[in-house]
Amino acid sequence: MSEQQQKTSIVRLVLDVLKPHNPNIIDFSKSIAQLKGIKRVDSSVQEVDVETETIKLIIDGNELDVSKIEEVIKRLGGAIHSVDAVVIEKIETKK
Amino acid sequence: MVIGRLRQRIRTIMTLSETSGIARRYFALNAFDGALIGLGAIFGFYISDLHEYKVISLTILAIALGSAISGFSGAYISEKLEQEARLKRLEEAILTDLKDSIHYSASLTSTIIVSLINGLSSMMAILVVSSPYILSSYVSSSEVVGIVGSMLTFLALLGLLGYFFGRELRISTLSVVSRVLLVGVIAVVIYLLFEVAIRL
Repeated sequence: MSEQQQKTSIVRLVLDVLKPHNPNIIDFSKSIAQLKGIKRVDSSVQEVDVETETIKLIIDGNELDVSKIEEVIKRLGGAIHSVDAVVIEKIETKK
Repeated sequence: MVIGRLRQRIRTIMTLSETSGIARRYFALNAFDGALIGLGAIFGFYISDLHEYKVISLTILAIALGSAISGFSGAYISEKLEQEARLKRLEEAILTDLKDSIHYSASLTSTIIVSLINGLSSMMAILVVSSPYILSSYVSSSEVVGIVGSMLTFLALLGLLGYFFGRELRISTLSVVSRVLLVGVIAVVIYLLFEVAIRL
């Protein structure tokens, strides 16, 4: 008799990110999109300051790794201010 | 392709560290300085009737080296402080430590690049302007040929700098070149008057 295994995976993240003006939003999003499992990055600028800008990042994919995404954002000089939304899917697999 | 990628990488570093403009200004100022120093040194040899190849070439090399060291170290100290202040401002704005970020590594690399530009531009200009005179002493030709060659090289270098700047800043190259050449001609006239005054 086959057993069913359940696994959850993050398929969408909506992040509020504060970043310097450079790299620009295009290069910033491209760098994040290069991560494994990410299919789509939707970015929009919410606020602009003298030194920084606040952007909204909508990241879609399979099994998104939050720690890796955070690492990339930090490496690009950004900081995640909040996780505004998350979509998690439950996958059932037969063993 | 490798050069293209290297250029792109340098451009990215300069954009991140906000040093593109300062690097351009350092290059122009120091190349101009170096050209004038080179011409001044050559005029000094010419007026002193010193035409020995070994003396001239070694003196010019020492001046060029000193200029490079001065340019590099001065720019390194000032640019390092500027970058530290800029990173601190950014960290305060983002409320996060940027030590692991590309901004930190770009600030270190750009400091070196800008310092090298500052040092090497002056050195290059000194060597380029003085090379006709050094060559004339090496082949034992007339020093007048050497000094005229150096003066023409000096004006050509200034013209090239003016053209480079006009193109980079997207302003009338003719206007920039004519302004720079006017300064160059005035400098040459001053040196010639100085020579006349000494010889009288």
